[in-house]
Amino acid sequence: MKHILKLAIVLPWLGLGAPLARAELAVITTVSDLKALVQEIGGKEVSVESFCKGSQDPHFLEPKPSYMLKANKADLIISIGLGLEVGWLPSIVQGARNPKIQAGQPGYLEVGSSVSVLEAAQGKVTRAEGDVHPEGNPHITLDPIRAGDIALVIAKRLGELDSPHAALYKTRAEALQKRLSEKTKLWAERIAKSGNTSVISFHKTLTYFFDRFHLQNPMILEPMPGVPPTARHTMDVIAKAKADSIKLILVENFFDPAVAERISKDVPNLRYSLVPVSVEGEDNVKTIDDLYEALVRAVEGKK
Amino acid sequence: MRIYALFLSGVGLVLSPTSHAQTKAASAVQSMNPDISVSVLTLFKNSKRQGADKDEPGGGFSLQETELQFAANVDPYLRASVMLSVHPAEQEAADPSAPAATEAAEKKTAIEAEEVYVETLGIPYVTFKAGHFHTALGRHNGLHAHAYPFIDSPLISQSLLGDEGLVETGLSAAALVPVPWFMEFTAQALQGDSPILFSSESSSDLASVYRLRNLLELSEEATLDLGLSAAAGQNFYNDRTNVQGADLTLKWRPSKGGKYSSLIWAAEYLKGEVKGRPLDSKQSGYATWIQYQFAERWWVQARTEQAKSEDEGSTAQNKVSALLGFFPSEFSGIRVQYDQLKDAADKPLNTLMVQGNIMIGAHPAHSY
Repeated sequence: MKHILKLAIVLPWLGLGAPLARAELAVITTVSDLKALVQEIGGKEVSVESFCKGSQDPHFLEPKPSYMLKANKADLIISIGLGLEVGWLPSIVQGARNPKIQAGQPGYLEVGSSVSVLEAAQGKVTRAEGDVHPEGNPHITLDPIRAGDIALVIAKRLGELDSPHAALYKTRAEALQKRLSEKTKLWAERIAKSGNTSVISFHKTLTYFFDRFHLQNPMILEPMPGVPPTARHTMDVIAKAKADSIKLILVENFFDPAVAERISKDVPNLRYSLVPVSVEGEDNVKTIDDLYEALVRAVEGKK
Repeated sequence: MRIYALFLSGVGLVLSPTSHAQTKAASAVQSMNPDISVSVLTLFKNSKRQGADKDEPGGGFSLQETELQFAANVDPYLRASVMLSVHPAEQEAADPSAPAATEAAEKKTAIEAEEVYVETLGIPYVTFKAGHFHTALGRHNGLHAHAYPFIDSPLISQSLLGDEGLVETGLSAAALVPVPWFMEFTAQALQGDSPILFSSESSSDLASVYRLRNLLELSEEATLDLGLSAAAGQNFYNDRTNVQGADLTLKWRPSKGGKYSSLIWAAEYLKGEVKGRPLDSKQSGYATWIQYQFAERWWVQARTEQAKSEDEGSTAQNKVSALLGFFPSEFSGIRVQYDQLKDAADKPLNTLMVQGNIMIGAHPAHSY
């Protein structure tokens, strides 16, 4: 009995669950693209932090307990969903000991289900096909149009949690969406002029970008999602690149570019470019616009 | 042939909308099932005293452990986890009436509830847990066999806590301490069933475990994890048992190129006294190891450890181990470990182990 009483030691902590009076809404995002959107929509009314840095692979983040501490203080946690963060987010959310951000609560938002998803599995899938995402390709923020749609979803949720500023969030999100939509037309023209119609990538990270700008992605350097390049597959890539006269490989910058470099030496007129695929993935990529701009420039062959 | 293909594609067109809807409905229903996964450890082991003719018993191929895991939210307030372990049964004393032949042929398997518990989701700052679980006595004790850093557990864990560690039934509260870094205080009230440490004659004698864990972020790339733990309770000899532990884990993973290299250094110390026990009443020991990831799917590890009893005339056990691990994916791995153990015997005991590790089913939630 006295041992159970010892549990009472923890009771003082219970009182600390009451939200402290705070001017701004505390938001945590899983990836830095979502952070960039929240920053713009939330402005001064919101503070935001991302678990995954722009230079890290969001599939494989380590759930550091310090992330639980951050999640403990959050009013809202925004993730992509579609299986992207499945290996690490659940343990952070549970370990956060914060009722507001548990799945099903207003403080928990997965944006993946609010946009049309590419590559969703139509039948049974198995891991014989590699690290597959049956719910669809999760790299949705690499399409500026979908990013605009996601901005509206985020604004709506911010408005629900902080109703006095709801109209402000909505206005900012609509402005963001309009701007990205206009820029997309210009980016599309530049990509059409670049002469590239087919691009090889390392992983299926850029699927939504390619889809938006009508670029074919006939080969990826990974033989299967999550499986590092093999010699045999690399030979196939070289053969395909020669046969189709593909001129560009884009390597997401958390992968090792060595294989792409070797292929580019073997195939005439083929160049490779190491590209950021997340905001803050490179020092000069500070906003979501910078990210698309960097990718468009890589396709154009400018650095 | 072409007509046939056309026919087939026509059927596909007609069927696809309904079958797609069915698939969606089916997966929605399936999402009410718990997340299910199975992990399997297969082991090859060979141990031999240096210079001896014969191998030590208990070697060869074996199905070390099959673990079935089920987890789901019960409702908005609770999450339940069930982990069943299927493993070779410990050799029981031979039944004198059984014929010798069948006794030798029969290999028994045990199914054991390794962990079965519910945890709270909706309480601020504290997670309450109730059920049967790995207690918070030190860092290694919280791990399941498939997550052990080496194929075997440290000598001191085995001799002080038992082969499977300190797994008990009871209540646990883990609180985030409101300080600027991650500090977690865990207090557990346990039945004290452990035959080695507790099992008091009176069922109202509860055992308790406390743990304080700190995680300091040294930089974006490095963390230092420091833990202190203690266990206490009434034992079989009608006296007290006290165990203390300290652990340290330093992890480094560069933010650029972190897929391809990382480093871990860990050390754990355990000390315990089972008052009244005639043999090995006081024991202590440590294990320290490093793990270096040198390619995306490869790592090497080295460990040195000691376990000793304070009984008069007893010799400390010292062991060194080296390990090479290859993990083709998140779901499979193979590890080769070589140990040398020096104990009371004249010659050291050399052991080679090769372990296959696979997991199927729901994606595992990693811990740090």
